[in-house]
Parts: sequence; C-alpha cells; structure tokens
Amino acid sequence: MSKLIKPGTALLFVFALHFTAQAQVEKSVVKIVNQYNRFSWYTPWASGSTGGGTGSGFVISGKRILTNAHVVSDSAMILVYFHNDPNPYPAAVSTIGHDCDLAIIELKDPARMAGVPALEFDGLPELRSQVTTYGYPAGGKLLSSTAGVVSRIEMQSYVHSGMDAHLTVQTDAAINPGNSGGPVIQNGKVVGVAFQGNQQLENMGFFIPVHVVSHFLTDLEDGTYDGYPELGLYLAGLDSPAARRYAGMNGDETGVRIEHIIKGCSVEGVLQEDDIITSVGGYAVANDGTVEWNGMRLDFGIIPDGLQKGQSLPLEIIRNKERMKVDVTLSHYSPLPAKANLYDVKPQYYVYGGLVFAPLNRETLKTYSDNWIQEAPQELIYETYYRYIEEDDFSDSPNVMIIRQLNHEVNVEEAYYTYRLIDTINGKKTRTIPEVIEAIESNTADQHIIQFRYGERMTALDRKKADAANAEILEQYAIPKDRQL
Amino acid sequence: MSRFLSILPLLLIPLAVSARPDHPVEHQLVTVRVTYQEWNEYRPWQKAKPSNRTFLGTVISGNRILVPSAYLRDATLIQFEKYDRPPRVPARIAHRDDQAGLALLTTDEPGFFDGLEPVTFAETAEGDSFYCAAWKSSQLILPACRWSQVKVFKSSVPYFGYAGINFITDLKNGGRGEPVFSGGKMIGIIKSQSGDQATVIPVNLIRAYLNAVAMPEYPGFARLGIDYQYNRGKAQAAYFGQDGEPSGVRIRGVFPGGSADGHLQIDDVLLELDGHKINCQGDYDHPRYGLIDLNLIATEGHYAGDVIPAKILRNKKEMTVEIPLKNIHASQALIPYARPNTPPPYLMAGGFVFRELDCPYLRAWGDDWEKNIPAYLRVINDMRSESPTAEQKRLIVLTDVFPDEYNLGYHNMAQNIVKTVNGRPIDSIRKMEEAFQHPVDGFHIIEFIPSYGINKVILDAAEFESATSAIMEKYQIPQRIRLSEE
Repeated sequence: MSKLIKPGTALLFVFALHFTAQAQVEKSVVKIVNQYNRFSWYTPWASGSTGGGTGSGFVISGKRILTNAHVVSDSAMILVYFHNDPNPYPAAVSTIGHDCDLAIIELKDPARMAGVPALEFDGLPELRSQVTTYGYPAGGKLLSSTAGVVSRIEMQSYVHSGMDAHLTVQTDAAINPGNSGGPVIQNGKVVGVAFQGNQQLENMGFFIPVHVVSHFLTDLEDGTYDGYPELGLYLAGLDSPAARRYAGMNGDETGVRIEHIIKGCSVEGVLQEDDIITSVGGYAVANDGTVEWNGMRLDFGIIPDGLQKGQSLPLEIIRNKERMKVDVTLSHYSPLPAKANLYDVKPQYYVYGGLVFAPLNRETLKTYSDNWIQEAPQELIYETYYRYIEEDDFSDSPNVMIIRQLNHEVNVEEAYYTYRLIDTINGKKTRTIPEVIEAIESNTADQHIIQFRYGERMTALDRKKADAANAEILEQYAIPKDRQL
Repeated sequence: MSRFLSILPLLLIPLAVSARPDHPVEHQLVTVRVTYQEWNEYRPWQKAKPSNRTFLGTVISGNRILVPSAYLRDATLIQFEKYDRPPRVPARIAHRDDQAGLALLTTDEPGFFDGLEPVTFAETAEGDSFYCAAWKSSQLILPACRWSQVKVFKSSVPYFGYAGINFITDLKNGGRGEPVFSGGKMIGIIKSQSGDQATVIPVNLIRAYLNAVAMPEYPGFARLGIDYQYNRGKAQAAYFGQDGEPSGVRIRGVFPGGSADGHLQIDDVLLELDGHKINCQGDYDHPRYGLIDLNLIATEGHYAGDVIPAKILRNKKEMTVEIPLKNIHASQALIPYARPNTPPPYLMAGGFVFRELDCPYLRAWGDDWEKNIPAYLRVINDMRSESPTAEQKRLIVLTDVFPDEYNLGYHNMAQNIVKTVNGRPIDSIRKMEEAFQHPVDGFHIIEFIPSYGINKVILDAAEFESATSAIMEKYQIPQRIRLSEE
C-alpha cells in the first residue's frame, strides 16, 4: 500500500520553485550518496549486493545531519554534497532509528560544517497551511524545492521497518525518490522530514513531523538510541452499546477493550484482558480508540508515542466494573526486530553437513519468494505474526530453520526440510544458531537427529561422515567460514 | 467391429473421425443432460444461477448408465438422450460414490433401453491401441488415445488413492465421461481433460465399484490415511535400525480415526503392505503399472472392512500389524476438502452469518485459493486442515455481518474463527445454536480465535431473537439455520 521512496531511482518531475526563505535553507540542505552493501540472508557468507542511492538531509544543531534511516541503511560509505559545492565529503552514520525512519550522520571532517547554519524546528503545521519541501529528487545535482499544503495528519505505517506506525503528515508538495530525508519548511523552520509516498494516492507525499523527530533526538541524548517502547496491546473499539453495558460503563463513559496483551510488553502485569481503557495520559479515549490531540482526532497511540522507554504512562481503566488508575512503565519488546525489515546487520548462519541453519526472521522469510507471506510454509508466518497474538501464555522467542541444503553425498539422499521450524537437534531444544552449534558439536551418537516442530518431520545425518565432509563442503561451495554469529 | 478396428490406425491422423451411423458404439452411449445449481457458499441459504452440463453415459448391464459422478454435482434435473437425439427422458441416480468418482443412472421411462446395448468390459485397462467415443454434432466420433502414464489421484478425500490413466487424445474439449476402448472392449471412462491430456478412470476400479454395488451393503473404498517421509538416506535408515540399502517409508502421521490410526505409529518404517514391498520413496511394484504410490494398495482389490497386513520396523524390530481398512468420509477432516451433495450448514444470529468452514467455501477465492484466502484462514488451512481433535471436529467461520443497529461496532468483521459462545466451546452449528440458548447475565458473548482485530463480540441477549428476525426480514434471508446431517 504505502511505497517506500528509495533513494535515487525515479522519474523526473517538474517542480514549482518556491523562493521564500530559500537562501537561508539551501545552505543547510545536503545531498547524500549512500554506497550500500546489503548482505544476502540466503547466501549469508557472500558479499552483498552493492550500489549507490541518493537522498537528502539537512544540518541540525551539533554539526549533525538529519536524514531518513532508509537513505543511509546498509551503508558501506556515505558522501555528502553541499549546495553549490562540487566536492564530496565523507560521512558516517552516528545514530540510526529504523523504527522511525530517521538517522543522524556526521562528516568525518567537521570543518566543512563551519558557517553552515543549523535549521531550527517548529511544531506541527496547521491543516491546509503551506509547506515547502527541499531536497535532491531523482539524484539531481541542484537543490529543488516544491510547495504544497498540509492535507492530512494521522497515525500511519512507516514502511521502512514494516512494523511501525507513527504520526505522519500528508502533503501535496511533491515528494519523490531522492527527496527522502530533506526538510519540510514552514516560515523558515523545519516542520518535518520528507520520507515516503503512496502508490494509491496521486501527487501525495508524506513527511515525518517534528513530534516524531523530537522523540528520536531526545532518545539519543544519552548517546544511544533505544527506540520506541511497545505497549503490547490489541484493542477492540466499543461502538457496540451492548459491549459497553457488559463492561459496566455508564452512558457517558467511552473507551476501548483490551483484546490481547503480548507477553513481554510494557503493560504485562499491569493491565488485563477485558480491561476497558478510558483515559491515556489524561486524554479521554473515545469508543473508536481515538483521543483529541491538538485539535485533531488521532489514534490514542499518539500519547505513548511521545514517551521514552522507562517513562510512565498513567491510564484510567475499568476492570470488573471498577474504576481504577494505573501507571504503565514503558519498555521494549525484544522479539520485535525479527518481525521487521532488518538493516545494518550481518546475517547469522551455521553450515554443517551441507545444511545451512539460519534464524527465522523477516529477512530469511523474504528469501522464500517475493510472495513469501502467501507462499512460505504457513507455520513460519504463524510463528512470526500470529502465535504471539493467539496464545495467551506464549513467550515470543527466536527460532531456527534450515534455509537450504548444499548437496553432498553425506546429505543428498536424506530426507530434508527447508523453511520448517526446528524443534530439537539430538534431543536438545534448539531455538538459536548457538544452540544449534552446541547440540551438534556435543553429540556423540552415530547420527544427528533433527526434529521439526510441525508435521513430525525429521532429518538424520551420519555424524562421522558429516564431520569428515564439512571442510570439503565449505571448499566446494566456496564458503569462507562455517558460521557467523 | 473387429473389421473397423483393423483400419483404426489409418484413421489416427485426422483429429476427429466420424463413424458410420450404425456403429455398435452408438448403441452403448447415452447423452446425459444435467441441470444443476450450486449453493452460494457466501450466502448459504441461497443458490447460484442454475446452469446445464451435458456429458456421456455408458450403457452397462441391468439398464444402467455409468457416468463420472462429478457431473451430477448439485443436480436439480437429470435427463437422457439416446443417440444424441431428442426426445429427452427423465433420469435418476441409482447409486453414486463421489470418492470413487463413479455413479449409476437409470430411467423409469418404458422402452428407453430398447436398442441400447451394454458395453463389454475389458478384464483390465490394457491394450495396444486405444480410442474413445463421443458425439460431435450428433455424429459419432472415435478419436485416438495414446497411453501416457498412470498416476495415483486424490479423490474428494485427500490421499484416497486410486489409479488414473493419462492418455494423450485427439478428442477436443472432452473429459465428459467418454468411454475409452481397446479391441472393442471398454478399458475406462474419461473423467477430465486438459488440453490433449485426458484422465481415465480405469475399468479395474469400475469393476470393483460395480461389484461393491451388487453387495447387500455397499462397503465403499478405503483410505489408508497416513503421512510418510522418504527413507532414502542411510543415516535415517540406520537410526531406525536398518542395515544395508534403505527401504520402506517413515510414518510421520496418521489421519485421526482413519485406517492406520491405532495401528501404525509415528517413526514406524513401513516395509511391506498387503504383501507388496514398499520402496524408500513410497512406491510399490504394481504388476501392470510399474512403480506406483503405495496408497493404491488400500483401494485396489480391497474395500473398506478388509484387513491388510503391514510389515513394519518399530523400535528397530520387524513386526507385522494388521490394518483394518476404513472408508473415511470427507467430513472427517477439520476443514473438509469436499461436501458432496450437502448444503452448507449455517446460522444467522443477530446479523452475524456463521458457517462450517470447508474447502468449497475457501474455493470462492478463486483457482489459487490456497494462497489467496485471508491470512489466518491460510495459516489454519495449511497447518491443520487434516487434524480434527475430539474437542474440535470442525471450525466455524464468521463469513459476514449484515449491518444493523443491533450489531453496531461489528460491521466490518469477517473470516474470524469462533472459539466459544457464552463460554461453550464451538465446533458445529448445532453446538452454536445450543450455546445461544444460554446467555450470560443478559448478554451473548462470542469469542473468536484471537487474531488482528476484534476477538470478542458482545450482544444484547434480550433483543437477540427479535433483532435476528428483523435483520432476516430486512435482508430477505428466508431461513435462520441449517444443521449438518448427523
């Protein structure tokens, strides 16, 4: 639905130039060329796919350049170009927030930053007010700017991670590939960062408002980026009068019912299923789950979205028809990264007896096929995206599978199952690559026995023959090392 | 007839060969016209637009007409035509077995069988040159067929194995019950055709079916009901205690309540079945077809009720167990693959339409339905379609909500799987109807298997019946409930 604007690849558009305040802004808007190296989770020992992409960025306080995470993801080298300056300036990522698609890069030699004004931030622009985007769409050498109006402000999914939704501003100012990371300006101040488009909407672009940018900048003040906390709630609206009466709500009370709590998330132990949330951070929650925030009706997620890990969120709830006030201390959900698109990590693997073991995550799922959600064995989809919602007592945790088999006499006739969840190896529960390695290396039986979680499938390998064949298999398939952890 | 056959090879080149009008085959064919009307799986109280199909029946002894049963599906009217010419006469089903894919028709119309001759069956599906018979513009044609290969097919119950023979044929747009002959004897009937590939139900199964029909009580055919994995690898074979070349297959599942349930176990290595050695890929050496899938053993030469021996390796010891063969109905699966000749059970409750989840419903998502169905249904269909339990014999799905003030807040719900109603576990429309008799503190509480979106529906119990009636009236729904036949 939403389409990520990838750096550097697009058609040229005609832009309406907007000159107000441009002289001040143009010095601070940079073009970013990212030479990326993206490793393959299917051939995890190989060099990645490389290429160059361009995006935009702008200078903020502390001699830092703010841009989108997707502009500088998987970077092997970054070059920054300033307005009317043909020289490339090498830079490096200092902080990257994939969950909010924002990143900070810094020049290796900060001398060029002297005299470059840091742009200042403003608040949320008014609906229908005019904004101007600045950037280097389609990788052009010259700064481009286009004007438009703010057409909608709402919580929307951020396609870079594929698992996050935050406040987003929609505008008809042209936002095209290469614009990504550029500032959106109103009255000379930054009101957002251009970041994605939507194929279903013509001439509409989206930018990340300052609300989200400040969350990112505040988060990294202590030197590390922690990312957004997760409440871990699945909720049902209460438009149904019967459902409200059943919950013991009075005629004027509104709220939403907790359908499911994800084990390991912030609200665990504080909230319960069937609790009715009537107020979040002092904002009354409507029956459709929205709150009134700055004159707008937004999903109540906007309130916790303004808070950092460790901060407390006061809630008013109805539990068993009793009114209560509780505080939720916000925390992370550690299994979440495996469900999202992964960047900037080297793929984990272990090769033994020609079997390539890999963790289950969205990147390994994507190696199944382009249409992996529909075509991959559904136990993988269930385990990653449904089980933690379906089962109350389920603790979401890592999983491993065999992602491919490198044919060799030692394995080729054995039954083998790729893209199936492994349950045990040699009787030991194995959920991570280190556990796989331990279970295999500690085995003294004649065979290695791999039992799969579903369908009672199994694979056997002759231990001594597999031990003996390992070096040869690595050599034959040009695999420089048998593992990466 | 033999004179005709001797010249057949010369006639192979033309696509369709017209025979002379008084050819004997003409008297062995009957045109069958069926008017049919499928159930609307999404609105299970109504039917789709009626339509017609025309196919061929083969005359057999006892004034009966043999047809592939699939063509009788959802029939509302069956008619015969002799020599592909009017008048049409009313016909009726004398017997059908949708698993075997065969049915017998007859008519009470006096004199209809005058001038018709029963076909002669071959002993087995063998021969040198083959042709089929069909009508084209009321002319008899005898297109050539060339034997291609034999496969074990799934019937309407998955893994119910029977052999089908693939022929490459000159017949165009066939696959409508045309009999196939060799040397003037019928060796099978075509059940389907795709391009120039026709799949033929062999005479062996037809004979077995007719023998079964003649029995005092029709036994039906059996399904072995096992899942297995290959045993090609020496490491796996050694693990199960086999020395030398691996043979047999490793059992990794038995269909609950099926033939093998209670007799074969997970990790058994099935070495022989009914005296046939099973190779490490699950094939046995069939006397006529060569290597073919072991599931055929339970079907060929056996009926449900027979007991066949199985030699297995269990805990590294060879032993023989007896497997009493059972007929397994499609409805025994958690998500039945087919629902032959029964309408979908459903319940309309407060504007919510619930029905039993089965593959005919899921097929509404098109040819590629297994991929295109909604995400959670895809997960269940892939992981659990064959796995009923004592507590969960069937899944009930919410197909739709007919909007009304009564069900405000739930109008966008669809494709959720019901878990409980008023705290009672649900696996049938019957249990659901019963559960709605027991509201909790004045409410009906419908819980679904948790997924993205609303998982619990709460309705006012006092208004439930009147709201249901009003919604049925508003949306013209004639019938509130249909229970499954039990």
